[in-house]
Amino acid sequence: MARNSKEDLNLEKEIDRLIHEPVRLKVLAFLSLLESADFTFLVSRLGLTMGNLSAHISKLQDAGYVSVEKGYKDNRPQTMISLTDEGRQAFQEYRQQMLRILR
Amino acid sequence: MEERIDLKNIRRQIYLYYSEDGLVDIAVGLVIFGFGLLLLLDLPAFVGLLGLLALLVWYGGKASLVLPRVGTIRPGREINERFHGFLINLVVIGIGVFILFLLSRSGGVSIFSRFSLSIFGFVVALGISILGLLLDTPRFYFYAGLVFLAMAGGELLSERVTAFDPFLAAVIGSGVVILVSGTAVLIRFLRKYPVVQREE
Repeated sequence: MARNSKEDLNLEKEIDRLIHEPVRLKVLAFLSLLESADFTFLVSRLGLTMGNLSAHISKLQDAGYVSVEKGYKDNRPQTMISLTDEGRQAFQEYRQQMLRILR
Repeated sequence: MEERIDLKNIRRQIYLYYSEDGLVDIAVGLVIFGFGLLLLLDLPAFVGLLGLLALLVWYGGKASLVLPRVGTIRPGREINERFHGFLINLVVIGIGVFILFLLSRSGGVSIFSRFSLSIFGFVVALGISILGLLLDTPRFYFYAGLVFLAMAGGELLSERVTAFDPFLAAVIGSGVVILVSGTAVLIRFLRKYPVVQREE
């Protein structure tokens, strides 16, 4: 069944622009399958610099989508990132919205 | 970032985290190679230590080579459930091996006595295949096939060759092949992922 253009526009407005950005979307996709991951893991998987990833993580953290836990492991600094409940819900909603738009 | 963003691909990349460094291959190869070598040296009592040695190599490699390059993860519920399933399968296989061993020793079931080493090879290959399935890593199917063919072939040749023990030679040989393959995977991994310089 074809949707009218007004409905399409409304769906597009609903899209969470913060998640829609490819790097942040991929970060959330990884974290949705994990309890947590450290900075180094995300850097190696996404092929980004620490600084670039840090900027994206800050935005997600400001939105309350991820939590950042700094600590030490084997005398090395370690930053663990995990998805918050709010982030998990936002990611699921984003997925549903995309499926509706692309239906 | 040119690759597709889909959860199937992301899930595969997470499983790759556990196998792309080749350390599991090296641990498996070490156990098989060591098993053959200890039997050759008539030191079967030390076979149990191989698991510990493999664990030490795997853990040491992870801590010193892998973590500084690709970091660490805490798996989520889905991955944990998959690992638990694998452990249950391993326990079932272990019990199966033990029962087969008892049956072959007692001579109660002639086919187990006659082909005990081939059946043992099949069970080991099954364990390696499950590992390949768990880690989504096809090369483990090759290892499984190699180990089964080596053990079954070695047992068959044992009746014809007397100058040396073909079974032990085949087991040691297959262990060496897996060790070399794992080392090649590790070298490729070390080249692909440099140590991440922290600038947080």
